[in-house]
Amino acid sequence: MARSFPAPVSLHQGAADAGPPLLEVRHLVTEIQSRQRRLRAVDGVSFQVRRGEILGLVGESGCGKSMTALSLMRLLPPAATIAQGEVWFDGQDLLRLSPKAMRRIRGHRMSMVFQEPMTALDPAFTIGSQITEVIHAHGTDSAAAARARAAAMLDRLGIPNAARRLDSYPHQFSGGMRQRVMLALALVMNPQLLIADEPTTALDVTIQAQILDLVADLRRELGLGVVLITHNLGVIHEIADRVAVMYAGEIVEIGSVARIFSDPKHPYTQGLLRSMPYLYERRPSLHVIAGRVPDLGIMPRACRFAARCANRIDQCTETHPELREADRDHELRCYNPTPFAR
Amino acid sequence: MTRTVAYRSLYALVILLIASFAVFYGMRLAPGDVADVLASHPTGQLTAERVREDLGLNKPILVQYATYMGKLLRGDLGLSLINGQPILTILESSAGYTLKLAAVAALLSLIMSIPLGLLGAWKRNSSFDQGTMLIAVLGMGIPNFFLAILLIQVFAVWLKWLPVAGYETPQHIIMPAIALAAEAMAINLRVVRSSVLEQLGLDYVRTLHAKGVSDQRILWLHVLRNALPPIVALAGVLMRTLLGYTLIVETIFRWPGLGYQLVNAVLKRDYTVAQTLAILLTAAVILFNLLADLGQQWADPRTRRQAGAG
Repeated sequence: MARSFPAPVSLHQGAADAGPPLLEVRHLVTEIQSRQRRLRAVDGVSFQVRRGEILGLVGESGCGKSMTALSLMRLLPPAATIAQGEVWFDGQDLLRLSPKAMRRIRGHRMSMVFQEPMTALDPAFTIGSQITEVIHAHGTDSAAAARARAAAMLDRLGIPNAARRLDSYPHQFSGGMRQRVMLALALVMNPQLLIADEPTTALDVTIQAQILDLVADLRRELGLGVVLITHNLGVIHEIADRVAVMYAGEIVEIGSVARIFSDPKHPYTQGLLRSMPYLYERRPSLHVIAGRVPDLGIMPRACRFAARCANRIDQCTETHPELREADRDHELRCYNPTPFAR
Repeated sequence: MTRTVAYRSLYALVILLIASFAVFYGMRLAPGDVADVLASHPTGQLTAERVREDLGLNKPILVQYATYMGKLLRGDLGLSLINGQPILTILESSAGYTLKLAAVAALLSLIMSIPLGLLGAWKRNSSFDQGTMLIAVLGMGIPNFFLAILLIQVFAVWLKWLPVAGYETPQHIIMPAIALAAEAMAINLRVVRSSVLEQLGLDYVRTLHAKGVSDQRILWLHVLRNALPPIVALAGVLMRTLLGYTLIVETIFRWPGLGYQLVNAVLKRDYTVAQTLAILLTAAVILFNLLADLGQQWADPRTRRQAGAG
């Protein structure tokens, strides 16, 4: 495959297999009840993830990417509800499952890691007990077997002296170590799907790279499907196979990483790529996408990006563009795509 | 942790010294000289001078205090001024009653407040939650002496389910325990609820859900465990007020505990008994504070470890 964008190719090997998708999200709508209004945080999002594939979900803060992730896990805060859609995972629609059946899937066949490793663990319990808790919630292992499994998992994730560290409390671990523990919690049951919501945002750059390498390794080893949520395009470029760009609750462009990084078609994606800093490049200042994301309460009925778009034509302010195929494995929500000029 | 224990204990001891001196000095300030009272006792042929001499009341107050505390520490609690009974005997016969009443009341307040507060927070703004908050408002708003009289009127006078007052049967403890526990229960309920609510909003709870842990386990193990430090801290404060309220409640229900004896001693101007019981009650209060303090440190593994290292 021709790649005009420099990529660490090794990480892209052994990716998605054929066969039916592991996860298929169809027209997901998630609403937030706020005082008198119901706001659509996620508006008709659809995508697929195959086994062993990493799908990156990018967009700026408030675009609905975390709400999408929480909807998949059905872990939305009380004010938010899923209004429509289907989430097919392993032959069943997760949105139709009873809370109990959903609980049996979480942490077992589908896991999630969060952005804040410092607060995501229970401060009052040891690392070991928090990992074995997952094993006991979903399996019948004896206490000793669960402990051995927990230690093996921590060891696999690169925590030195894993067996002894089981008795440590979260506050005795650094941020990077805690994120490894979070990954251990998520992966100890050997799930098929991992949802990672900004897993490295709160970490130092060197630790970020370690954690991402770990995720890439695990997907190769375990055939794990991953939904990786981030606002960092560099991260996507480094390890994802496909990428979905979200804007104001909708996917505006989705396709393979190779294609979207070399030939982005949506003006928003182009703007995002332009605003990425490059190490070996001298530029007086970073590119900024003018304007701001429309408020959820006063969402334009036509194209949501129109007000900030330089390529705007009349149609953009009149009707709402649908997501349509632009190329092979490349869908786009735009009336007037233009070639990408850096 | 040993260092923390030593430090807090020393601190408690200093407080006890200051408080006991305040009680001692306060007794001297109270209207009516002991010597005059004794000298005017109809059976006695004592003169005020003689009494002052005997009791050492003509010495400087610090000397009196030192002598008194010295005896107290050696276990010599002294005699009642009125009937010459050893104070130790009074203490032995009444301390058990107070401990029993306070323990039952404390237990009652915790057994009521923890589950109600926990479930109220879990089902926030439900009718259950609102019901428990109404109980809390009533519990805090009704003074215990009024509640005691209300209980007597309803359960003893009208319904005749329970004895009015006394201590002979297990039924006797029910009303005083409720009257004593009500306010503590109400305060506890609010603290449990707000502490649990705070925990429920934290990230780790979401992680637990993501792990597939059951709601019951999340609530009763993880959330309750993390919500404990403020509850434990408050329990110490509540035990203190509970002990203070025994004076009122024991007197109303004629429950023969320390509070009842102390009130009686004050009314009969039995200064030695009043002084000793007051100082012992003060010591008990300080002890509960100390235990609550250490308990709170222990309840939080972060301070536990830091205290151990520091």
